[in-house]
Amino acid sequence: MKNKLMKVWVGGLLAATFLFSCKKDEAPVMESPAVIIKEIGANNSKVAYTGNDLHLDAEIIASRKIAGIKLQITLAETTYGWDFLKTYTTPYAGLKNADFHEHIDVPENARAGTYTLLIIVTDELGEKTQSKIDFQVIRDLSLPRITEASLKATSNSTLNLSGVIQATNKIAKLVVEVQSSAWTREFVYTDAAMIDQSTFRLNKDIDVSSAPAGHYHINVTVFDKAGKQALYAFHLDR
Amino acid sequence: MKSIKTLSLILTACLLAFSSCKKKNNAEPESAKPFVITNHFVAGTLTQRSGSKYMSVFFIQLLEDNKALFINSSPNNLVGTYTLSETELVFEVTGGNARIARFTLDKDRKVTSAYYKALTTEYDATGELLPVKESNELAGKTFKGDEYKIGEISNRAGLNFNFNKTGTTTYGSGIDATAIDNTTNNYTLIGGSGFKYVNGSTVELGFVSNEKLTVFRSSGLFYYGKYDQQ
Repeated sequence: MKNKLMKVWVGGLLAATFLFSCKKDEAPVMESPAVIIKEIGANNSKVAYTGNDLHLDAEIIASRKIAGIKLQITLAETTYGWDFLKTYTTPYAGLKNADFHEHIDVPENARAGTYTLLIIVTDELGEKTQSKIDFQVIRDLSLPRITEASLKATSNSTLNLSGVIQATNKIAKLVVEVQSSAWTREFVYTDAAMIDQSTFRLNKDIDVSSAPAGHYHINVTVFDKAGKQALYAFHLDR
Repeated sequence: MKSIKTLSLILTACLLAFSSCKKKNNAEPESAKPFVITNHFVAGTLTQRSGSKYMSVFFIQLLEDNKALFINSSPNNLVGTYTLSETELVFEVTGGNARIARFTLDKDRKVTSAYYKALTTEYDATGELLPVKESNELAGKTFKGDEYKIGEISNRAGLNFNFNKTGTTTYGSGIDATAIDNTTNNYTLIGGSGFKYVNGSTVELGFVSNEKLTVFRSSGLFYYGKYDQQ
């Protein structure tokens, strides 16, 4: 009787061994990163102008670290035109939930028309997500512009902005936004010597003495009397 | 005796438990990397079928979303679309600049034949599907061969191309190899194996494959050649 019980027990053990001894390989959960395009063009106008830059802002939400962000801009129709291809690693690789903020130069000779912007985010495991949006490139020769635009730190407390403002519709104002995650200031210039001029040589010292160390985005926007504007973006570390 | 039987059964159970799982064979070779078309580009040549012949160079960059860029001596790239099957890669542009480039692929995705038609004109075409490389395959290399001009006329025999060292994207060319300044012409690297140099109305572009450099230059006239790696 005892022997029989033992055999049943061993038999049961054998059956259980077959059923449960292999640890199943569970498929890892592959959560792709999310891309939310928040702004394309000034105030999300979905418009960029030739000879100016295209303002782009997207939120990246990744459960794993970002490996790279590929940006592809091509004409929507099949013809000769401007294109832009770049894979960004710095400063996004290794981060999660990044704010993808870039300014892309639209060449003076870029063909006007509808363009498609595609962002592809790849995480450290190779999972990809993409987001796509169309925008317009417009050639507007009456747009105000700053030629030879230059911004540099001349001391620890001062930035110097120089260039030549040209505005067919006359200059209305100049706005300089200095932004970091910890410090933001807006400087508005309406100098009498500049207002209503169609050409003005710019040479401004900007006081940033109270700005803490960090990475700064500096947006310089010139407005004309017709309400048109052009934005120039700079980045610097201080 | 009974206990020996029982012990044998338990041992059998243990052995089965340890051996029943299919082990991953570490010696088994890793499966080949999946083929990703966007990690490749086409480099090829086009030659007229009649009239004054010359061989020009083109590239097709294969982008995301089935878009592609046709790059030749034109100042701007031509945006098109592509489709890929097991046996064929087709690049197409519709509208006013209509053209089609068709590449037949073998099982290893090597191009076995190429076809190209722009509007109504067909060309003799060649093409290679090259991997996009991070490294500059031209840097530090010298090539030598004969240059021809439109009409298949010999222009410069023994022409040298000298590409500056790794980390730079400049090159120079000339008959006298010792007199070449390889820091003068700044080029755009295409896919790691191709280059395009633009200076005013002069455009020179080419690619290296199997230790041969294929070059086309538009500079008033058209010049072309194939040059052996030295």
